This record gives sequence, structure tokens and C-alpha cells, in this order.
Amino acid sequence: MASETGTDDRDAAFTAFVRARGTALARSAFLVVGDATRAEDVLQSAFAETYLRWNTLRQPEAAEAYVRRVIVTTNAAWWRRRSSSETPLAVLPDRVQPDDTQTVIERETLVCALRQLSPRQRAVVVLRYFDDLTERETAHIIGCSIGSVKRHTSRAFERLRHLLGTDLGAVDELTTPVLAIRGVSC
Amino acid sequence: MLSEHELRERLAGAAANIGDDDQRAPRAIRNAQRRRKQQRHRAGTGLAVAVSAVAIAGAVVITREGDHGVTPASAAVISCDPGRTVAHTPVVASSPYGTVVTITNTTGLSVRVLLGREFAVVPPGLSEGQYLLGSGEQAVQCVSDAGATPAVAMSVVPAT
Repeated sequence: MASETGTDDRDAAFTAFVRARGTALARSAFLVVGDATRAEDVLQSAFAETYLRWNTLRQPEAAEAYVRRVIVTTNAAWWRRRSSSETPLAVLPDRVQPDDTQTVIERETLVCALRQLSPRQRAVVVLRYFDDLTERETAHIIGCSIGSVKRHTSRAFERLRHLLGTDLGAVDELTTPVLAIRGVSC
Repeated sequence: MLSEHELRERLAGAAANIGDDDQRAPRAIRNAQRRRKQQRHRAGTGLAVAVSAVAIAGAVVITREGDHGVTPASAAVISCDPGRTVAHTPVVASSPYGTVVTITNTTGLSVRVLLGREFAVVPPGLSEGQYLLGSGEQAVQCVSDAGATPAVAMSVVPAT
């Protein structure tokens, strides 16, 4: 009975945590992973791991940091496996856009540009500029030094500026094809 | 020129279409329970599994003796003690689904455990996770704010 109560308490605390932070973490996962469906799978895996460790994590802040770590490491592991088994396309494949609004184009362009970064660079960009984490927190989650975070941030920014810079900054319906012409596959 | 402010706004805009989902928590709990069940199954908690493991271990000793002379453990057991890392399982079997790794952290600090190319962040106490470990000699090292401990080797062999 006591153990059932303990499980109920844990389930309630975990559910409250996911309800409170689930959407923010799902958005962060989407940007880190670059694909909404796979991001939800990665997030589910991270939440499941977190649930299993709930008794040792206890604090919501620790749980959130742990979820972010699992998202980053799971994505990096997937990327390593994919890089040896899939060949990137040379050009952007034809795809059906849900609609042609500026918002959709802007989103697709940014996500496409993020996909051109290495998994670690992408994680640093998302953790620093979407989740607003400090360099120290980012280093802790990624498992590297603060100097390394600074280096990844600088290189990622340089790459993003190249892809989304002045000549491509003005978003229009030509933006994504222009990325494709530059040899970028999304 | 892309500014930090502009990047923040564009990231927020790009992620804004990801919405709420009330089923995330119940789904995660179901997944976790299924995963725990699989881990327990793999770790061999029941007598029947133990008996089978002994039989399999015998076969594995015969087939792998030339490589290591030690039966690969089905789960890795590691301790992060103050100032040292201990791999209690010198040879461990990997699988396409990952290897179950049990880590005892007695340092009193949160520890990052490097497992070959993977890593785990482990709070004080007993933790268990599943990691994709490549075959061959893998370095295992516990690193905390107190410093890095000397790395130890753990051999990973494909499960038969």
C-alpha cells in the first residue's frame, strides 16, 4: 500500500512537471532535432528516462536539465547512426507546403538552416538562444567545457549568418530554394 | 547581419507551432514502465532467467575464451567513488538496443560518467540507464566538480 502511494505521488509529481514544462521542452526538442515527429519521439524517450529516475532527481529544475541532456545526447547518437547509413540529398526535394504564408516560409527556412549545423552546434544555439541558458548551464547539459560552448556558438553563428545573412535575411518565397541552390539539403 | 535578438525571435517563431499535448505524461509513464520491464527482463531477475544465463554463460565462455577469457556480463556495473572509477564488469555484452548500465555514485556530487562516446549525468546514489556502447575497449571515467578520476577500461562485445 505504501509503495502504491509512493508510485501515485511520483506519478502525480511527474505529471505536474510534464504539464508545466512539456510544451517548452517539446519546442526546444523540435529545434534541436529539426523534425517535429522525431522530436516528439526523442522527447518521449527523455521523459520516460526522467520518470525512471524521478526519485533521484526530485527537483523540477534537475528533472528539466536531465530531460534536456537526454534530448541532446539522443539526437547526437541518432545523428551518428544516420550519418553512416543515409546519404544527404544534393538538392531540396519537392515538397507540399501546408500553405504559403510568410510564417511557414520563415519557419522552414530557419529549421533548414539549423539542420546545416552539427548536432552539438545546434544544441548550443537552441540552449543559449531559445532556452536562455547560461554558458555554464549549456556546458553542463552538453557535457563539454564553457570554452567549447563559446567556440560552438561562434561557429554556429557564423554559419547561420552565412545562411540567413543580409542577402537572405529578407524572407520571401525564394528563400528556401536559394538555400537549396547553395548546396544545402533540408 | 543576423543579430542575437533576431535569432532569438526567429527561434521562438519557428517553434511556436509545437503545441500542448495532455497525453505526454501518461505516454511517458507507460513507456517508462515498459522499458523498466524490459530492463528487468534483460537483467535476469527471475530464477528461470538466472538458470538460462548460467547455461548461456557456459556457451559464451567457450566461444569467447580466446578473446577475453571472461564471460561478458549482461549489464555493466560501475562505481564512481571519491577519486576513482571502478568497472565491476570488465567485459560486458552490447546489443542493438543498448547496454544496461548500473552506476553507483558515492561521491556525494553529481557526476558525469563518460562511457566511450556516450555519457551519463548521474546524481548521488544508484542510477540505471541504457546506452549504446560501441564494441571494443571503451574508456569509463567519472568526472565531477571535484575533478576527473583516472579512466578505466571496459571491454564491450556484441551479444550473441
